Amino acid sequence: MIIKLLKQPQAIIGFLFITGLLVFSFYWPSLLDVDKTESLKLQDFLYDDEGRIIDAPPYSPSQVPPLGSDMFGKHIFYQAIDGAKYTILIALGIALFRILFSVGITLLNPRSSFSFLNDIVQATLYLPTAILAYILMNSLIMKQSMEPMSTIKLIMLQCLILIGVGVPPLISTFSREIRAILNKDYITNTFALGSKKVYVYHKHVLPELSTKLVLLFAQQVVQTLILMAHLGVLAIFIGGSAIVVLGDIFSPMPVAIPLAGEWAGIIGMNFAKIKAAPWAILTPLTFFALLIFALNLIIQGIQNCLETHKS
Amino acid sequence: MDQHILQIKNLRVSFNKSKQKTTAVNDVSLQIEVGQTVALIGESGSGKSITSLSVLQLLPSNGQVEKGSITFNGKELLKMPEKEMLEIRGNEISMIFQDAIASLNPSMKVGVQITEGLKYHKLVPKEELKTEALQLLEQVGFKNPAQVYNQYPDQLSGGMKQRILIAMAISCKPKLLIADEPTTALDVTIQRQVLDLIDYYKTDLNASVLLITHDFGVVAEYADWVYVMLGGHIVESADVYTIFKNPVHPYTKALIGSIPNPENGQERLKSIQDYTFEDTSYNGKKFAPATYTYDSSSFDAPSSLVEVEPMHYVRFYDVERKVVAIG
Repeated sequence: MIIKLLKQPQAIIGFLFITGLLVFSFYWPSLLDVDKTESLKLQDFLYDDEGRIIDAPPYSPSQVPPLGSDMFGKHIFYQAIDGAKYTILIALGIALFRILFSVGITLLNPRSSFSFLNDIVQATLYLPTAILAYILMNSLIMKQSMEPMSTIKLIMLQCLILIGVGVPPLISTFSREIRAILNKDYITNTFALGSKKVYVYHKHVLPELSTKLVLLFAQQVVQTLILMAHLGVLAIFIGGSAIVVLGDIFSPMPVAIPLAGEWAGIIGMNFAKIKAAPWAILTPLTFFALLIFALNLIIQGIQNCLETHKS
Repeated sequence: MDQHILQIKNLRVSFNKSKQKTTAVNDVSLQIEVGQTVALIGESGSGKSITSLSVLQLLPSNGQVEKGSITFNGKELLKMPEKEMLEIRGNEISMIFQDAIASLNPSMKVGVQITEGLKYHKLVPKEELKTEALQLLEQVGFKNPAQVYNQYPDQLSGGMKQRILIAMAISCKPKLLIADEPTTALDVTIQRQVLDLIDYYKTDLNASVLLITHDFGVVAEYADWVYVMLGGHIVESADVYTIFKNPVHPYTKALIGSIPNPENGQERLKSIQDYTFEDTSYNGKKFAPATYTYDSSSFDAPSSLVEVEPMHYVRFYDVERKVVAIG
């Protein structure tokens, strides 16, 4: 499988892009020779050489290269680069646990068609996952505002919700796939030799499922990223947020500031200023798009492998 | 002492699909003695494979044994806990499946697959598994076992794959070998090799064989006793000589009639017609079941095996039915 994937140039490009972005996200201060704290600090005003105020944030890309700033004067580019590691790792983690939970639950009763679950999945097919996740995460945030909980606990619960909303459709998919494998003649032959179920799953079912698992994992990462972006627009951030009131006494403007630096948070935070500073949203959106594009390249590569395997 | 290694009594197997029950095998009784080759012959869908899968309790998830008993060496298999069944499968009863291409995992090397049974039953120390596999490959006629050991099933021909299946099935030296149409997908010359191999194994270890087939030519050559199956029932049973000398059931006659005979020269091969057995009779008794009839009451009517001559049994309806003279 890995050797076959290495023969797919698009998969290699996608993988290198994501790995490169992740490495850059961890080491950007030393690679760009900048001070991280200085680069990500709030910048109230822009001054000219004589110390006079010439502008207030948000700053355009021409004023603060390369990609401008947000409404607090923080560099969007540095924020996006720094937030890449949180975004990628959270998405990878959620996708991984979705796959693990779904396979685990399916293997508890592999012969079951999970027909009740299929009915639920079919019924919720037209209900956007983002709305479901929003309702659940919003009630969590409401609860947190009344009974404060630690950030780690909050992140864990938020991740559990994001994992949970993706598991039922995956169980439905896996139960179909596993039943198809279990119906194969060589599985009956293996059972006829006296093998235990655990052995059959370990040696026959899971290896056969492996390519599909990798494909579904990549698809889940994409889905999680899209879901995170949607939740960001709805001002639901992983790791919670702090509310800052901007504006003046006559027109106060509460803004939710994400406590973690992931991209969805940058989008959500700047959504109120979409007309005044579109770059503050377009930059993380572009990063999202590039990341999803890279993942799609990997998915394409895996699908090519699956097709050559079939033929 | 009871010489029967396997005894099936009044077996009924049904399948549930969309809340509808279909009886696939009904009132099947058969027995196999030690060292005997018993043939179970019948057309596709007659219930031969389901009967054999019931013995190993490997029916598909929607299938269940409704009635009857299956005893192996005096032990009731249908009441046996799964843990004990695991000890029997592969170790004491083994099965050779008909589709060699589908019965081997294409992504696993042949050598690993051959040693699976030995591994489960811990019959050979781990470090000796390869040596044992090479011996098995040699035993089933491979001239280059070391090379075959490292090959994938796709690199082998149909006959070679079938021999691999035989090697897997005999690896634990089972007392009963169920061969489910082992030569169906093979050409004639390879068919003989495969059947000779099974026969050699049986003679060598005094094992028993349940040979499932639809080919009376194979039955004539290898079987000691024959059970003819139709529509989920045994319709006739006798020793191989009696079956060929004096077949009674019209379906058995039709099967024997369909064997090509080179002496008949230009004569067309006989095909099995859509018999309506209710139109034929034997000494005033009506044959059952009437598989092709649309009259379901006729199909479901009670029937039983009747001894028409010593050790020769044929299925007739239990109730008197009007016999329509033919011709």
